[in-house]
Amino acid sequence: MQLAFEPAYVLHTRPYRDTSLLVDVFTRDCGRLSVVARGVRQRKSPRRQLLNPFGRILLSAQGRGNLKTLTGIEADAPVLALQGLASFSGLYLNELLVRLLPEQDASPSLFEHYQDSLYQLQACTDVEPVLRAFEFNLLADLGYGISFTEQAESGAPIEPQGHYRLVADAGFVPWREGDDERAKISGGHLLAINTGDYADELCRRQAKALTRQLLRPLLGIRPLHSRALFAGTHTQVK
Amino acid sequence: MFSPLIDELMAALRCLPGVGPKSAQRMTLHLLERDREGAARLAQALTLAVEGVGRCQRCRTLTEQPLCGICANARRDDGLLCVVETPADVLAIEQAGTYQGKYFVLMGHLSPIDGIGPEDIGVDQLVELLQTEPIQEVILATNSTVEGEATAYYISERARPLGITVSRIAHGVPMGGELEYIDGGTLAHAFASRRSL
Repeated sequence: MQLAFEPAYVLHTRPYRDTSLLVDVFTRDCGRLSVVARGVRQRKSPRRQLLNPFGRILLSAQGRGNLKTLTGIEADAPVLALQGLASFSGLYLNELLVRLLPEQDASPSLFEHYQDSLYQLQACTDVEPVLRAFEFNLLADLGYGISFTEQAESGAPIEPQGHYRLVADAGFVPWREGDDERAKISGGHLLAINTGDYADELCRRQAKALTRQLLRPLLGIRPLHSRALFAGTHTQVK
Repeated sequence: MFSPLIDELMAALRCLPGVGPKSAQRMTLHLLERDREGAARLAQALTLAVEGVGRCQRCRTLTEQPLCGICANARRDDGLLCVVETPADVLAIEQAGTYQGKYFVLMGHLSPIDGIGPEDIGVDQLVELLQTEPIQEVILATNSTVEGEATAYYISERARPLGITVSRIAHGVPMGGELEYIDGGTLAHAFASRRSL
């Protein structure tokens, strides 16, 4: 397979041999790829600076197996200056992609959404809605999306006044007396999540709990380490 | 091809960075053929260093003493603490020769995807140090990479509630550098952190 000037974002790099790097990239038309960048850790290599997260690059690579060899790289857009919480959030998105996205599974729409999320993170002070939107989008892209407007079994619309609970791998069903109180979510909040409206504090917490619940079976037992970063900052994510 | 002892030595030498099979063979033959004395000295130095060298209790850098030379030096400024990623960074700053404070070595940077979290780079030990010593300013000299910046931000968030000044080293145009050949990211940084004369 040969890639020529493919738009891509670097997700992660790690040292390989003495002067090379193993790079995880997220390309628009080929999905997630592992690329070996030979000789870029030498002192004078100009390409090292381009192989950093959060900057769009044009990537050329070739190779038959799962590990491609980098043949060329150019900057496509300026590197986004994600500072502080935004940078933790960006690392969180990258960790999600590295952990969950299968290799070489193209998803241009997810790529666009990832890019939009990075720009939003750079511009905004409230990172949470951006993260939630990305998580729901990623889940949908992986085939685990659920409907926030229709009930799972009956297909009836979700009513703002109703109360619902999440059934794994299916969607929302009406909440009945005797069900777990903690799983109860109001229909109004579900509809708000659907439109990306996180003004309500409770709705925000429930959306976070929902994404955690949905991501947990996919992530397995290894925790997401970027969550530990948020825990240590005193400007707590609400 | 060689006898087991020689094979073992060659295999052992390959743990060094940049040493492949051919270099390992060359080194092995050199040590055994021409420089037995040097080989004995190397073996002894290795054994002693591996057994003796540990971490400095205060700054985590490599040393065989409980406290490293810099931490034990009374003429160093106790009010300044420079946080770096590796012992090599300490050496680089020492060679520059202008910094008179003390250090704290993280031995890495935060990297969620590699599973390296705050507890792995000794942030708790650093916070404890900030609470117990009369430190007025923390200078964050982590690398200018995404992970380095994230590490700096994380430490600044932990240090700020303690009422300590937290500063970050400047990034920009290198000495003798020509603007034409500097990458966009560095130039943007240089402009963002310009100062009035």
